[in-house]
Amino acid sequence: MDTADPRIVRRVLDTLHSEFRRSTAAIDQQTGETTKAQMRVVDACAAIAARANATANTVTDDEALSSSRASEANHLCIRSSETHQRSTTTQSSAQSVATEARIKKNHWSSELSQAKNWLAEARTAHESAQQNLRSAQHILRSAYSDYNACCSWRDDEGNGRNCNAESSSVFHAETEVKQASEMVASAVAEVGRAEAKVNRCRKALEFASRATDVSAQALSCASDAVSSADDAKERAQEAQHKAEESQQAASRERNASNAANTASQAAHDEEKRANGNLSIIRSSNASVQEYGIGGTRFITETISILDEINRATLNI
Amino acid sequence: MDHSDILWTANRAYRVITESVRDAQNVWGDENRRRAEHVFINAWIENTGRILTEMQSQHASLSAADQHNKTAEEQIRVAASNSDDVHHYAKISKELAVSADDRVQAAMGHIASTDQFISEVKNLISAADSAGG
Repeated sequence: MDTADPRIVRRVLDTLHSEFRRSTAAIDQQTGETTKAQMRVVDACAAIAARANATANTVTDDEALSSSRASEANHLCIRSSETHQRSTTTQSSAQSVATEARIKKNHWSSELSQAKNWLAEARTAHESAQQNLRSAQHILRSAYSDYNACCSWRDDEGNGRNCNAESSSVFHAETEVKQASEMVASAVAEVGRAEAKVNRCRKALEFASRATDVSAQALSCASDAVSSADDAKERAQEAQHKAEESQQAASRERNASNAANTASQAAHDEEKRANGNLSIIRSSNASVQEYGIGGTRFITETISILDEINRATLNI
Repeated sequence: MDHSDILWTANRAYRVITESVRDAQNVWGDENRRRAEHVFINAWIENTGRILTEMQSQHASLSAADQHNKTAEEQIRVAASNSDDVHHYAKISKELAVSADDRVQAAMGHIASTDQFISEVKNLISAADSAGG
């Protein structure tokens, strides 16, 4: 068959034209839609990329913040532990001096008690010595009286008496008085020493009592220090715990930010790929518009072909 | 009509045309057909086939880009939520740290006072010993 039936050719061309229009319409519609979709995706990619980038900057700031908090909390943990150690050491020292003060107080209280006993005994001895002195003086006066009486005595002939015995008694009484006086003086000195001892013990007890009172204040203060340090330690540990939670959140934020940036980059890659597709679609479509069925040259050529077919048919 | 429907329509038209061309070969076999086929039809089939392939690929890429953007958005939301947590815990940590520092200062003050009292007690004990002789 060298020459086709024009009616068949026409039917074929009509079919091709009809499907071409349908195809062209669909391709045009798709091209329009995908161009819009492409633009939308480009805008979306740019917006998401900007947000993902901003998120990355935020993560860096947040990591610095949580790290700073962790560092601060760690520092406080160390400080509060050291303070706690110091407070317990100080409390131990306070307990030690309080014990010493209490022992001193008991000691000087006991010493005072003993000194008072000693003073009482010294005073008793003093009174006793004075009593002995008074007795000795009385005996001496009596011996003097006897001696004087003896010396004054004369018999009818004017002769005196032998007063050796009275004289001896006086001498003996004088010795007794002297010894009694020495005993009194010794007793007075003993009373003086005992009184001095009592005064010293009383003064020492006063200081020791004040030391006991002040040590009670020291113990109270040390207890407050330990309590405050305990509290500080607990709060510092809690601060550290919260800082760790902050760091963990920053780590999760970093992971999410990285995932966002990866996804954003993947979207951008896909968008570039789609853009490459669009370029090929446009260039191919331009060829179709010129050379394809229904294209500008096709229409011209078709008329020519149909003319030729018609002529051939007429020739037949 | 969404992209899938449009692509389906275009693909269908493409198939009909290629089948029509094949059918036409049976009824239109002259030089004009060969010329039309050589110059136009083959070029159209080739270009349109390429267009449809690229459209399919573009459609897939745009869908994938959309999906990636959704994933990125979700991860940005997760990151923002975690950022809130970072600030929340950092704020509490700061408050606790300030409070702990206050307690440390208080403890240091008490330790200093205790040291003074201890020193005073020691002096008083010495004074007691001196006074007692």
